[in-house]
Amino acid sequence: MTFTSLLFLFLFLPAVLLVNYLLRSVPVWIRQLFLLAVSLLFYAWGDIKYLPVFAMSILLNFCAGQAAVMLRTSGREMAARIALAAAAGLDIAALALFKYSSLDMPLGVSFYTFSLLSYLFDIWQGRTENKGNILTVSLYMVFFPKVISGPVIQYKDFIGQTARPRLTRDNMVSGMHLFLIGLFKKVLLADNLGTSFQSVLDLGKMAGASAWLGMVFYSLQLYFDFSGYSDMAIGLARMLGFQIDRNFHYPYMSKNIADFWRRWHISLGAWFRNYVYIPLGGNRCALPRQIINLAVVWLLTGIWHGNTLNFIAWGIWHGLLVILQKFVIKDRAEAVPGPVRILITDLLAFIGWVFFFSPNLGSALHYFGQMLGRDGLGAANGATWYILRQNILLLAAAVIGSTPLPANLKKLIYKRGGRAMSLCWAIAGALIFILCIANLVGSGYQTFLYFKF
Amino acid sequence: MAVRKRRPKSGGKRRLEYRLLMRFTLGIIVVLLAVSLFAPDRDFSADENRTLARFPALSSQAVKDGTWFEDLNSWFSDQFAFRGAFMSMRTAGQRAMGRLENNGVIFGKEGYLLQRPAVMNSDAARQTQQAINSFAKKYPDLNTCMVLVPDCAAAFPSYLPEGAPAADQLADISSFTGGLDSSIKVVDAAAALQADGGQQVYYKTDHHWTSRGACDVFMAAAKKMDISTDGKFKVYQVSDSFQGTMASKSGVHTERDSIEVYAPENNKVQYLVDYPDLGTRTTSVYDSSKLKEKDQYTVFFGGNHPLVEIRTTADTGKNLLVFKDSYANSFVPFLIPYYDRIIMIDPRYYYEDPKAQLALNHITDVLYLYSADTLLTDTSLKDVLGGEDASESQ
Repeated sequence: MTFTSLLFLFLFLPAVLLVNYLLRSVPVWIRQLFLLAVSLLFYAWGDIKYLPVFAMSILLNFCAGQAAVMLRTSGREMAARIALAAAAGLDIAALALFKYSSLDMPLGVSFYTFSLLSYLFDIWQGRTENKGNILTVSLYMVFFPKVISGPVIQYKDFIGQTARPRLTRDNMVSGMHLFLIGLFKKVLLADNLGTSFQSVLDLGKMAGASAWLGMVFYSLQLYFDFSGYSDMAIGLARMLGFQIDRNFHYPYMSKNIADFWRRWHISLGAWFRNYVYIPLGGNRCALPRQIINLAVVWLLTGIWHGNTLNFIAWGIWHGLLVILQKFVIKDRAEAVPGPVRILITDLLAFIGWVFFFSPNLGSALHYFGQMLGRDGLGAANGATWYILRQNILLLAAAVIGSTPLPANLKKLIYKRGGRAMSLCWAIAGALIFILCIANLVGSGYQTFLYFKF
Repeated sequence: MAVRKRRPKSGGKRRLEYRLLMRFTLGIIVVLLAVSLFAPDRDFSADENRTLARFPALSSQAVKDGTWFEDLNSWFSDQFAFRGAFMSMRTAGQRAMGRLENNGVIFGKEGYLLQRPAVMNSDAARQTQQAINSFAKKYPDLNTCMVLVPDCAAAFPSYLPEGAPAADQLADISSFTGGLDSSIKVVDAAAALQADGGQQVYYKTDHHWTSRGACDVFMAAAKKMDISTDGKFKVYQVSDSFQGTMASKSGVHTERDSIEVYAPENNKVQYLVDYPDLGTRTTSVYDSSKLKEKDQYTVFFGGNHPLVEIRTTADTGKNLLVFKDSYANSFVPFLIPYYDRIIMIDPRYYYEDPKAQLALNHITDVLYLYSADTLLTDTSLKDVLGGEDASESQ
C-alpha cells in the first residue's frame, strides 16, 4: 500500500488516526503496540512475502545489539565487537544479496537496512540511552510513515520520542497540511511530469532540445516525487506525534554541489556522514585521506541507489564534483552572481540524473549523445514544440514550485490580508485535495520512483 | 498571554487555515468513504468495457501470497464514489493544462480522437510475412489477397495536432507488403481511403474504420478479387449515438458517431451465419441488440469470434477463407453476394489448424484483412499458419 492509494487515504489513514487519538490517555506501551501492529499491517500490505524476513532481521539485530552492549559492560570488548560486526555484516550482506541477486527486493530494504544499522551503531557508541525495549526498537524499525522510503531518521533521533509522542492539535493540523502538500507534489506535479518525461522517451529518436527537455522533466519529477513522498511521511509522523526533520530544502536553489547535498535527501546525507564519513576520519585528517573518505562515501551512495554501473557512475560524478568544489574551487566561485551559480549547480545535478534514470550506463551515454544531437534531427523539431507546447504550464508551475517563491508569497499575503485569507487558503487546499483524488481515481496512478531502490 | 502577543501575526491566521483545512479534508474523506462503502457495488464499467472488482473473498492462501491485499485495493478503487465524475474531472484538468493527449489518445482536429499508430514489431512482422509466404507457396491454387488497413492518424496525418510524433505506418505497410510473395495480390487500402478523404472513413471516437471506409476499400479490392460490382448501395443509418473506444480511453465524450450499414441495391443472395463458439445460427450479419450496448461497433457480427461460417445462395463456385481482425467485421458483409461460403478465422482466438477448413469448405480464395496495428505487432496469425507447418513436418 502506498500513501497515494485510495485505500490508504480513505480507510487506513483515518482509522489509524482515530484509534491513535482514542488511545491518547492509555499507558504509552499500548499506543506503541498499536503503532507497531498497524506498521506491520502496512508493510504486509505492500510485501507480505518478505515480512517474516524483515521481522527476523529486526529480532536478530535487537538481540545482537543488546548482546554487544552487555558484553562490553562486562569487559569482554573483543566479543562485543564481534557480535556487533557480525550483525552489521549480516545486514549489509543481506542488502547486497537482494540487490545483486535475481531475488525480488523486499519492500524498502535499502531504507530499513539503514535503520537496523543506525540502531546498532547508536547504542554501541552510546549516542542515546539503551533501554533495551524490543517494542520501541521494533517500532523504530517498522514505523510505517518511513519504513518504505525514508526519511532515513536515525535511531537516536527517534527512540526518545516513543516514550512521549506529542499528540497535540497543532501537530495534527500542521501534519495534515504537510501531508496534503506532499500529496499535491506527488500526484499533481510529479505524476504529470512523469507523463511528460515518458512522452519524450517514447520519441525514440529525438532532436537535441527534446532530450534536454526530457532531462528537465525527469529532474523536476524526481524532486516532486521524492520530496512529496517525504513531506507525506513527515506529515504522517507528525499527526501521530513524532517529529522527523525535513528531508528536502529547495535543492534546486543550491549554489554549489556541496550545498545541493545539504538540501537533497538530507537524511541520507546525514546517515552517511554520521556512520561512514566521520568514523573514517572525516575532514580531520591529511588531504589525501580526506579525498579517499569522500570517494568512499560517494561510491557507497551510488551503490546504495542501484546495482547497475550507471548508479556507480552517478555516485562518482557527484563525488568528483564535491571533491572539486571542496579542494579546488573552494570559495573562488563567490564572485559569480548567485543566480548563475544556481543554474550551473542545477545543470550539474540534472546531468547526474541522466545516469539515474537510464537503465544502464550505455543508454545514459546514448542519451547524452542525443542531447548533443546524435540522432541528426537538429537542435529542435516539430516534436520538440509539440511536447513543449502542451507542458509549458506544468513546467512553469514546477519551476516556480521548486523555489521558495510560493511560500514567501503566502507569507506576504498573510501579512497584508485579514483572517478571511485563512478561509481562502483552506478552501484552495480542499480543492487541491479533490483534484488529487480525481487524478488518483482517473489514472492507473504511478508508483513511487524511489520504491525500486 | 504575553507569549501569544509576541507570536508573529501570520501564525494565528496560519493556524486557523490549518484547522479549517483539517475539517474540510476530514469532511471530504468521510463523505466519499460513506458513499463508497454504502452505495451498492457496481458490476460493470461500460466506459472501460470491463467488469469491476468485487470485495475479495478472505482466504489464508490469498492473504499469504499478497493477492488479497491487491484485490482489496482494486475493489476499493473500482467501487470508489463518483468514480466517473472524478475521471471526467481529471480529463478536463488535463485539457485545461494544455495537454494534447490523454491516456495515449491524441485530441486531433475536427473532433477526431486518434490513437498513435502502433510501432511495428519487426521480428513479429517478419515471422508473419514468412508464414503468409510459405502458406501461399504450399497452396499455389488459392487466389490470395492482402488488405492491410492503416490507422486514421497514419492515413490522415493532417488530423494530428502540429508536430505530433507518430510512427510512419504507411512506410511500415509498404515494407511489409513489399516482402510478400508475388502471387499474393496486395490492395492499397491507404490510397483508397485517402482518395475518399473528404468523407468520414474513420470514426471520430473509435479506432475502427466506418462502413464508408470499408466500402471504399471493397471497391478497390473487388478488381483484385475478381469480383464485379456495380458499386450501388443503399445506406441505412443504424445509430447516431456511438462513442467508441477512443472516447472511453481518453475520457472525452464531446463527439458522437453514427454507424451506417451498406446493402447492395441489386442483391438476391440469401445467407446463413453460423457461430460455432456460441452454437447459434442467424440470417443476418448484424446484431442490432449491440446498438444498445456501449461498444456499438459490435453490431457487425456481434463482435469477434474465433470462427464464423457464412453459407450463401450465390452459387459462384467460389469459397473464401478470411484471416482477420475486427476491421473485417464491417468489411466482410460486402463480400457475401460473391461467394458460396465465407469462413472467417480470427487467429487471436482460434487455436486449431486452418488446413482442415481448406478441404472441408473447398476453399478457392484467401483474404487477409487486418488493421496494420494488429498485423504488424501480433504473432497469432503466424502461430495459426505456422502450426500447420509443424504438424506437416511430423
